[in-house]
Amino acid sequence: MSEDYKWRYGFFLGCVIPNRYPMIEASIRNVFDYLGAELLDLPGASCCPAPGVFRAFHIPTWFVIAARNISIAEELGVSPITGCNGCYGTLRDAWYELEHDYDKKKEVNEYLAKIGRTYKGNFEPKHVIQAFYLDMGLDYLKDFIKLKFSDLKVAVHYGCHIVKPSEKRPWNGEYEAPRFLDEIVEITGAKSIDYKDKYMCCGAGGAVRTAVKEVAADFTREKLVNMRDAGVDIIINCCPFCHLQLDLGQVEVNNFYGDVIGEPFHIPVIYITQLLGVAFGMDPNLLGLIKNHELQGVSPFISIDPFLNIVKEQLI
Amino acid sequence: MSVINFDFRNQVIKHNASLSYCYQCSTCSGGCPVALLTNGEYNPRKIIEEAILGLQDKLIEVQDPNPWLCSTCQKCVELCPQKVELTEIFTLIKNKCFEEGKYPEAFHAQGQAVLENGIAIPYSKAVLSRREKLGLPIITTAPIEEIKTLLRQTNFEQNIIKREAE
Repeated sequence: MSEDYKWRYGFFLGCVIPNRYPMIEASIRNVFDYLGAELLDLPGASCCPAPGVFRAFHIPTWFVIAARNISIAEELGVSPITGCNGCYGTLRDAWYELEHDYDKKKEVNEYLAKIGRTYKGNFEPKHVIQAFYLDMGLDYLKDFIKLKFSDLKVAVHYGCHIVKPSEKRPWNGEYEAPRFLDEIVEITGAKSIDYKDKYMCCGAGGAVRTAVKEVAADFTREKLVNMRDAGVDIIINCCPFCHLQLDLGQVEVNNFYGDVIGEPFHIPVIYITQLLGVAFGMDPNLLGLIKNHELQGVSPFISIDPFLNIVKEQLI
Repeated sequence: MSVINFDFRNQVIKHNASLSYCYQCSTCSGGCPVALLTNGEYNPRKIIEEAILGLQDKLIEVQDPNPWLCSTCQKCVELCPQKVELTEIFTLIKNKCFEEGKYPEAFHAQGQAVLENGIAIPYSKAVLSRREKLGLPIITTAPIEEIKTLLRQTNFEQNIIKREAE
């Protein structure tokens, strides 16, 4: 480990972050570096594979691919870390279940032997939020805050796999009303606003988005209506699939439900490290907060300008 | 008319014994966000009931209720007073649907993408150019032969190809 770093992780990218929201990847990489945490690349990592789609195909295959990904981090002597609730669900559940089932672990290693790999299970898969809250701690993060929002109302969206199933998560069994993400948001001076059914799924999970898009959009409509009723300025989340569903899904809701929602929605969707980064005084470009976005059909789909204006008014 | 297939039920119980703890109280359906938004068309309690009875045709052939509507949010698992692992049981039922080639078309494309590229979403030019602008490293994809060897071992490749042939 280089002397300058206090923590070291293997950065598991997954599919949605590098491929749909590279701005999230930029913000995670730069914020971790700023905080003194080194992110190592995981050479040869694949799809986690997705807990909704892939596990639904074949549970034993899901286990072996997940174990292969974890084993890449093990070889580097670090915990794999992910900014995606879906990847977290897969890596963490697979790790937890293999650590509690000797026969399954043996079977997985028999498969992995065919490609010359071994799964040990000695490094716990982590989420970016877990590193912030449990490894670094709020007090450590607070020391990096240079600028504070004076009036920013945030709808915090946790997503599902970061807290559930609670027995396989590091939050002491809390799943109904966790506060850890709200607490991280609030060190920036922003206020986390309560809204109805705050802990409800975004609608994309379990590949409902893939299977039946209308049902996924109906979830998102419900969430967006509740967020708007609470008067929020932006949405903060910690999962690129929720991010996609709340961003692109917002466009879909505006199209599918135009007649029932009244005004179309245009709530900026911001990833937690993007919010933290601006409060640390980092350059928005390092956080993927791109104002001018000339590419059609590329994220973000809902303009983040209102957020950038708030940053300009309150922080600069 | 539905046919009771005890073998099917026993297979589910063998995979996850918690199925037999269910006393059909419906706490799962009461808490399920999909049940709420589909006005009960999606009903987790009913899937569990059909599994307990071994109604294989209802679950795999007819798919009523549709197991692909489960968002895997795990709320039912947390709420269940009997600690039935519903999400895992639904996932096993979906595995059986997969073996029979009865699964949504869009899933097939994602399965194939993993088989061919090791990732679920292929890279687009626009994203690659955005990555470059953000100063992000070039992604090295997974060695596909390694992934394929594993997918062959577990019969995944065979099952996904079966669907293609149909």
